[in-house]
Amino acid sequence: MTRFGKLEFEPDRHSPEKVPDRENTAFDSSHWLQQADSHRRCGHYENALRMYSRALEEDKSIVEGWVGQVQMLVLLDECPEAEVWSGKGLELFPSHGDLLAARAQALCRLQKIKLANVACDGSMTQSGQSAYRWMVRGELWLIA
Amino acid sequence: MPGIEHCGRCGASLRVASMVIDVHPPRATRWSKRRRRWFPSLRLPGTRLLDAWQNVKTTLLGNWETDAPQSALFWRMIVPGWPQLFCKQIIRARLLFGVYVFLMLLGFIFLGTIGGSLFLGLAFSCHASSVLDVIFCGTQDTVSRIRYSLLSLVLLVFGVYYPAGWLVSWVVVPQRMMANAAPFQLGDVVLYSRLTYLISPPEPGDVVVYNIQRQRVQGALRGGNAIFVIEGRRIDRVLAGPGQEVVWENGELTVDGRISAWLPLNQSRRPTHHRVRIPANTYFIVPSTEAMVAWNSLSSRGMNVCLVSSRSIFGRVYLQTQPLSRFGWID
Repeated sequence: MTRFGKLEFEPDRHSPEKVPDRENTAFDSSHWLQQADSHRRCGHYENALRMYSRALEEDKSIVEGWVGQVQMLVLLDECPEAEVWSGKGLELFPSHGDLLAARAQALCRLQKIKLANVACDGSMTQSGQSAYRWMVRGELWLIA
Repeated sequence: MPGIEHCGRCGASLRVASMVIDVHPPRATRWSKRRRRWFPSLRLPGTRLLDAWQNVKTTLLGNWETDAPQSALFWRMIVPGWPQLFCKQIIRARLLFGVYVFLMLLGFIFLGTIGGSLFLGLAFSCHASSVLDVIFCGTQDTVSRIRYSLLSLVLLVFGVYYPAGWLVSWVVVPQRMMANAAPFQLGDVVLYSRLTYLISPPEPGDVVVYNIQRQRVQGALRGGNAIFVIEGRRIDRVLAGPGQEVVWENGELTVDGRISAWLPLNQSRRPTHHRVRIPANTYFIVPSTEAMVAWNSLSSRGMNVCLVSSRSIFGRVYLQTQPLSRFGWID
């Protein structure tokens, strides 16, 4: 490469390592969410947590990313951290049902049944439906 | 719309995408994971205490709101916990009232001692806390809070505690022993009432607090002549009233020709020979708790120290509170 090889007279002249723009669009938040979902289904919770974090780095407003992080922390048996992180998510999205349900699950596994009941009831009153909320409710009733 | 930061439907922040926030959750350390794996049901005592403290904070110290009228809350501040009960803050109300009653009880038991003053002060603080809790609930800015707090505390002191203290002081007055004076010892505390003798005069048999004006009495001590100076407050029993004739013979007391059932508090210290007719408005009280005086050595003139004017009697002693081992009625 000559000393003038880096001058930008013609784009992509001497940069074979540069990824084409078309490929860059695949690595956005939705891509990372898909990766996280597939890792979760395989039971690779650490990788799934990492993918959720990458998705949120791209777009912090994706609630599914926050919910997924809390769920992965619970599945990795890091329930105190899950409780803290669910609180952080609820500061940004106070009325999200799945986030409340994730918090309830973390509290339930920490044996804080009263607080878990409060969070679970809150999640059921929010708009929208998801199986996850009912699953958490069932788990809570089993424990209680 | 520009300027709106939260969704009106769900409350979610609309500026999340542009916020600079950490999206990486906290992780447990390796040792935390091992501890949780080995002892799954064990939580650190500190964590339990922290959780308990968080519950206490949320229940007791968290903000609460009420739409009750101010007038209804204002006069209820006389009793700690009553405004909270009126506003359905049951736990706060019970806690404030319970602690207040407990501290007042301790203050009464240890009345006359430093501990008693401390407990009464804490009870007042508890009452003030109840008042301030209501004020902080109804006000937001600092200036209003300071203003209403000062006003309420001043009203509490001069409107409730000062008159109550004045009333109670007629019935419950502590008297602490400053020296060993059998049957009392240094540090003993007795309670007397000033109200009793506003209604009726002292009766023989009453144990009273009275004052002896400075008197010099002549007597004997260790075989030699001695001058005894007697003055100050004493506690002892009234043996005879105005107009009665008192005769001490061989240590036995006869009042108006009949043997008296009453004896001085310290029965080992009493005159042996003495005869006197009690003047009007005067009572016969032998200061038997005076350790220095040998009563059997005093002259008749010296025995005048036993004649106490009715104006020198402060009140009737009815209860000994300290030490707790000798807590009981005095009769």
